Amino acid sequence: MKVFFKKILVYVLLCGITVHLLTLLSGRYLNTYYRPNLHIPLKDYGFTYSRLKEVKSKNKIDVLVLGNSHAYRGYDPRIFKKSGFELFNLGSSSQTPYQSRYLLEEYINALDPCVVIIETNPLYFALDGQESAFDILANEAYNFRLMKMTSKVNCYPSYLAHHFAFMNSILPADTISEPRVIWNDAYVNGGFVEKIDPLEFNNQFPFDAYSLIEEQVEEFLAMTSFLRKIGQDYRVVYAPVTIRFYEEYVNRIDMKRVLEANGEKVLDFNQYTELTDQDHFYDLHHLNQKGVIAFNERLIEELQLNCN
Amino acid sequence: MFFNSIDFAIFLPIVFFLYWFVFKSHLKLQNLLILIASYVFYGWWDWRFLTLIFFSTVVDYVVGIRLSRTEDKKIRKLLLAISITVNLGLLGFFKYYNFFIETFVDAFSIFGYQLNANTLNIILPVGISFYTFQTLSYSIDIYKRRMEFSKDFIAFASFVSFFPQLVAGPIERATNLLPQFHHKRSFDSNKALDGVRQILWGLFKKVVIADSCAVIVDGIFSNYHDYSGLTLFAAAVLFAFQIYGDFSGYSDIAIGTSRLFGFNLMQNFAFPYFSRDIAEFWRRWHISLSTWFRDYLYIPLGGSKGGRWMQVRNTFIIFIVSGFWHGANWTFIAWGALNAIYFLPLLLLGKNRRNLGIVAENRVFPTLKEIGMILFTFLLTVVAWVFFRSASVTDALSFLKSILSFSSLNFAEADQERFEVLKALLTFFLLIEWWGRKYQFGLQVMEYVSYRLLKVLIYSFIIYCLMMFLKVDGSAFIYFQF
Repeated sequence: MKVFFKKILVYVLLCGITVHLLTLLSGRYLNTYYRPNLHIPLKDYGFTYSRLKEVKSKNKIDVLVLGNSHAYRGYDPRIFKKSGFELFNLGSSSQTPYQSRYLLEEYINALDPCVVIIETNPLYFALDGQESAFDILANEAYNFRLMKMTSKVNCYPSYLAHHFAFMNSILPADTISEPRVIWNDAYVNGGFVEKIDPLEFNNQFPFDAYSLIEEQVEEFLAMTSFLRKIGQDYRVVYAPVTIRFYEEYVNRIDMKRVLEANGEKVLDFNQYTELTDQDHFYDLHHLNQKGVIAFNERLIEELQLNCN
Repeated sequence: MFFNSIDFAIFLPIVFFLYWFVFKSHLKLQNLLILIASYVFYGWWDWRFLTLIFFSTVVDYVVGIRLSRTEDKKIRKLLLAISITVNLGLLGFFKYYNFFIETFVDAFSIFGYQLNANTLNIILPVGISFYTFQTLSYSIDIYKRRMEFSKDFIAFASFVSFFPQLVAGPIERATNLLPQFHHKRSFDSNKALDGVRQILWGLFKKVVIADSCAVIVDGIFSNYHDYSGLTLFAAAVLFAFQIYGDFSGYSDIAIGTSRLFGFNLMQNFAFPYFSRDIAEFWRRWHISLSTWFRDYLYIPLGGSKGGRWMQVRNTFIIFIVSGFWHGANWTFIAWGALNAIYFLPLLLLGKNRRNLGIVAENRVFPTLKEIGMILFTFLLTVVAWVFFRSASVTDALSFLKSILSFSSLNFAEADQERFEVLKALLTFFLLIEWWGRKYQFGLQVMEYVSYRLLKVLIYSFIIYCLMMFLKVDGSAFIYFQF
């Protein structure tokens, strides 16, 4: 028995080193078909790399935005700037409360915002957080707090992505910068992504039936509880989506009911009647720039911020 | 519980620890542990079907005792008939009831009669075809006086439900496996290390080869009208690797796991795709089933003793029954019949036992003639696999007809990339299989490699592939449905 365990241990150690090297090399240099479980969307979509790089250079801001693509495509720092507010958008693709909480805890001290906007919509609570975890693990400079976020997502590929992120951090960082424009998306300083020259209005409904994930709701409530505890002003906002999409969000009522039952007031801008599906959106649930301007101006009015 | 799941990765070390460290010196407790572990393993899918295994176990246990206590030929025959009827009755009901009803109704409709016979919504219990044959072998062997009955119910129940091979074989003979439950087992480091190696190789075959092929194969077979001939051919070839990786991978994990517990199971696959003719292929493919049919059907039917035509008849019976064993569908029967047709020329020319040794023995490379023979045999199996994989015989024929259009490859863009990766993986896989072809399984060759660095690199690559290709929720093995 001793011989068996000794030999197994020797090979586990030796193979462990080689497997780590293979994982590191494949993550850096091979395409996803060679490593289907290892997702590393580095500089891949949503400009998370540029956003997380930029945020590290910021110190004092007025408005911090968290949320999924509705956030980083819906809150434009340039419009807030005109009203005298400095906004930083920490939204990211398919972000869920697991990632919002990580980003909030990681950056709130340095950014010291006057108000935090948490962009919510039923989808924010309905995803398991895997996609966004891969996105953040691939694009964020590694730190051990990422482990907490990974453990909440709690799936094998997210642990693998975390492991890669850890090992990758030992090597010199990739110095190639992310382009400012990818396809018809342009990165705007402050974390915003502007849709330039949108193609035809895409009216494909992208989601099947979904329901709120209890753990995500709990994480959200833990995050707002943390904000209250540190005396941080925050608002829960539901940015506009098309009427059709809004109507088909069958669980939007559930979301509001659950959040309001827990003392969270949702500022729902879907009652905002000046927006029309064809003029202010480029697909069923994302505002085009005309829509962003209209929504942001209205939002600034509603928020009545006093950050001086 | 799937072998390729996190559940099993937790389950196996727990059972291993209890088996060797807690119950080490107590055979009966070790057997009891195996029985409990086996029932947990099986009940993980659906605990209700444990009653079927238990019922089958009790019937054969009682039949075994009764057979040993009587010399009366009539009673002995009656007891054997009870065992066969109960076991095949359960198998027939769960697996073939709907098939027979539908065939019956279809047959009558040809003559203009419309029958209103209802099919039932029957769930096929996982592994029923495997453990049924295993318990049958016990009753038949006692009836034939090839072995003594088992007094120890726990040992017998453990033999019937032994978790490594319970749901997809190898179909063990009572004469081989049951005595191992009666004798004290000791831990052998080399045997256990070989077991780990075999588990690793089995997982690679299943997780990396079979499951990667499946992604492409499933897409193409379900919409085969949309693809060109060469693409269909590539899909058929990939299915050949999928089914081999899937099934032989399961067998490797089963045999390797058994070795960790001190058991020896029979070899189930002996590098069948390196066969030089179809007879050799069938000596190397699903050996435990082929030899089961040989011993319990072919030989009782007269085997090759009754002249050439008797031999031909018996061969066809064996192949068709073997096809039907795989599933209640005409496609499996067609697959069996086609293999019988392949086999026929060799049988009639007396060349069916021409290639008994391993190919290119004591040589690194095969001769050109051997390569030609291997490729031709492989091509025959690929054609037969099309029937095995298709939803109906009509689909299979249509699929084969489309292959003959010989147009270019037209994979979807994603599949094209996957195909490139798969080619690299298959090359590695075939190299190891070729290298280790004289052993029990491909990776066993590592035992004889003296360069540790090379071993570490190969093991590391396999582990890396497993990490990258593993489907965490597990993916079902094809043979579970049989």
